[in-house]
Amino acid sequence: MPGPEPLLCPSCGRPLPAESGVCRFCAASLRTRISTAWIGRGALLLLVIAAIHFTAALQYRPRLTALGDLTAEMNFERVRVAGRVVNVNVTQDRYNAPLVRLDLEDLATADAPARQRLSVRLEGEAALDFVALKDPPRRGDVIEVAGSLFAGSSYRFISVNSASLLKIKSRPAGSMPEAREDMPATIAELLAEPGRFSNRWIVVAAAEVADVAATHPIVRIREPGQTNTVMVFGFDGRSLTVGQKVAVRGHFVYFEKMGYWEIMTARGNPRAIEPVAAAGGD
Amino acid sequence: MELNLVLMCIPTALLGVAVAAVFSFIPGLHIYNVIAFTMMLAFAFVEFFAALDPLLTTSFILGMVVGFSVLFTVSSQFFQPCDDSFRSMMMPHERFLYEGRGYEAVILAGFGSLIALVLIAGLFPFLTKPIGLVRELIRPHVYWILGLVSAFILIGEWPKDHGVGKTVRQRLADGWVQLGMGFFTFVAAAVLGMFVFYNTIIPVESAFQSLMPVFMGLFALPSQIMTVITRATIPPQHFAGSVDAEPHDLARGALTGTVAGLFSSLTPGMTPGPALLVAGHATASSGDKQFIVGGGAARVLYYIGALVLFFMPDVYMRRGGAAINISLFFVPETVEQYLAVSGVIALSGATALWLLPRYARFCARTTQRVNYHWISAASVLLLVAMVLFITGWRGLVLMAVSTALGLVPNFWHTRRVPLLAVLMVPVSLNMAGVGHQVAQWLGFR
Repeated sequence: MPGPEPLLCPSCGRPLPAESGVCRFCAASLRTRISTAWIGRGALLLLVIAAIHFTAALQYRPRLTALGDLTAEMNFERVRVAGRVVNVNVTQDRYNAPLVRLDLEDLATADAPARQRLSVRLEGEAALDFVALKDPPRRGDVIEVAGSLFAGSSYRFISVNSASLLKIKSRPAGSMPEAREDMPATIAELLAEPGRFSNRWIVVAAAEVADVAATHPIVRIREPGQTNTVMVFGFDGRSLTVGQKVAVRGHFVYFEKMGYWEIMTARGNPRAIEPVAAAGGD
Repeated sequence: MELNLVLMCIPTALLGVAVAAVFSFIPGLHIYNVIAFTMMLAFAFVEFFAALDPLLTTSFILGMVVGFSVLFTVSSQFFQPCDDSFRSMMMPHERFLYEGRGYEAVILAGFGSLIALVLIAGLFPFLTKPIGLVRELIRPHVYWILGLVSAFILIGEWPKDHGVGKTVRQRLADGWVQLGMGFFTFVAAAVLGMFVFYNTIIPVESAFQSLMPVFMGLFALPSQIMTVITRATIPPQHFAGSVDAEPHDLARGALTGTVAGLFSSLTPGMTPGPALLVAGHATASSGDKQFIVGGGAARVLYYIGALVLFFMPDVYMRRGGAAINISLFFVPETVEQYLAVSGVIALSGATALWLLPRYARFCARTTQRVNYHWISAASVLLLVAMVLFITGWRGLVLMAVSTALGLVPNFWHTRRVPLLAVLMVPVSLNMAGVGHQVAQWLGFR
């Protein structure tokens, strides 16, 4: 008749006398033990937690801050805003890297007409991502933005570190490409009545190059034969010569920091400043 | 957040865990070194990585960190035995190995890791504001907290092999030589840390890994060198279906590990070793089992908890090598990103824990088939090659100096924890605002 099964220590596996309570080799208790299966059960619990988090990430509705509430007290804070795009500027820095600026305004409601404005800026990789977007935010789009607020006594903007943090929430039906919005203007009109052209895309059909900056994407243009100039920013004008007749397309804006009006050109638009044939030439 | 992006995060995280499982097999290798290697690949194939959503690369790195923090204890459990001369300094997990209970020790550490992962993935999302508050409270006091922990390390040094000398004078000398070498290790590591922080010789293009040769030299290489020269035999390991522990042991161990992990993850310059030392006293934990469970929890909370602070709304704290590397290409902005990151951590943790017993069995069997000396020798070669590749010959010089210092505790049987002065002292001095003056006094500026 076979004897009873030999008792093995569940911890070290060595044989023990029957009815041992503690292993004589490793001192492990044979009575109070926890099954290793609990590790597997814990892993299952973590899978459930993962599923909850992923679902929450998909379903999450962010709390948006009104543009008017973004004050200097919130400087450096991560914020989430929604607004209508009133202007999109893509320019270049001195290293020909794109710089993107979107101007947003509060969404108008029945009791609060839109008035608060704020710029959203993208630089470096984020600007490159933006330029590469197949369908970037356009004027009139309602977008949601997540970024870091930079706000002081005289400035206020949101810096965004990835183009994926700009979400188009709605687009007005039949919105026009920006090129259709070009408004004809002369240098004299721009100098005399800048407010009339403020934040409009304009085209100056007849201008003359007055100066080309060597290191910055800055060209000054003037009315042929006149001395007062208007700055055109964002176009590498090194191929132009002083006195050359040109046509200029761009966005006419007031540069608040320096206190003057300028024409900001769209990045990469080779037609932003185009030479035109001089009268009487061939 | 788009469904496609979330779905893509899942395979990338699992791939990260798989990579961590492969590299965790190499004792002494640290996942931050693997991340550094990944970053170098990213720099080399910038167009490929730039085309990926940054959250995907982040998920991959998170998968690696989670997988590593759960699995890397397995190789150090089975492939790093110590010989008889270390009996007085033997760690609990080494004792388990010699009793044929290495697998049980891995599972005990796994329980600690599981509790820490549930805390991070399950509770942290509800604690973002309190954690942010604690961080703000700690921030101005880091320098003296680190100073106190340093003092605790120094006064906690004790003679371990005293009494072996034949005369009273010899026994006195035995005791004081050990104490003295512990203090020497602390001071020398602190000076080395000041040098690395203020006047490193690492080339600027590898500056993102300036501490790597030092850590390799102080911790990874000495342990591997000692394993190569040790003459211990690893007994066959038993694969237990249950562990010798009570719920009380798991709870007390996890509490110690949680305190240590939170302390080290929220305090710049602090690492799990000294944090566990302090937390063990603070929570009055006792016994090998609680120590091992606490170690498992502390490591996970330190590696993953510190990393998750980087993504946490109200905190956004860049702490630890993984967060620093991720911040090179990704700056978290939204709650959705944090939720996705928490999901990735939970998923990677579940996968790593599922792998853990299987991985432990595989490593335990390997010790009976492959001579562990060869594994450690290969590890030494790999670590040296990695430092040479990432930081050049200057890094190698720095690693050689650090290795010499890192071997001091092994030869004089002192604790390794004073070596962490390499980080604690410079950070503490910097936070106190006197780092520059001390560096100047040492001639490093």
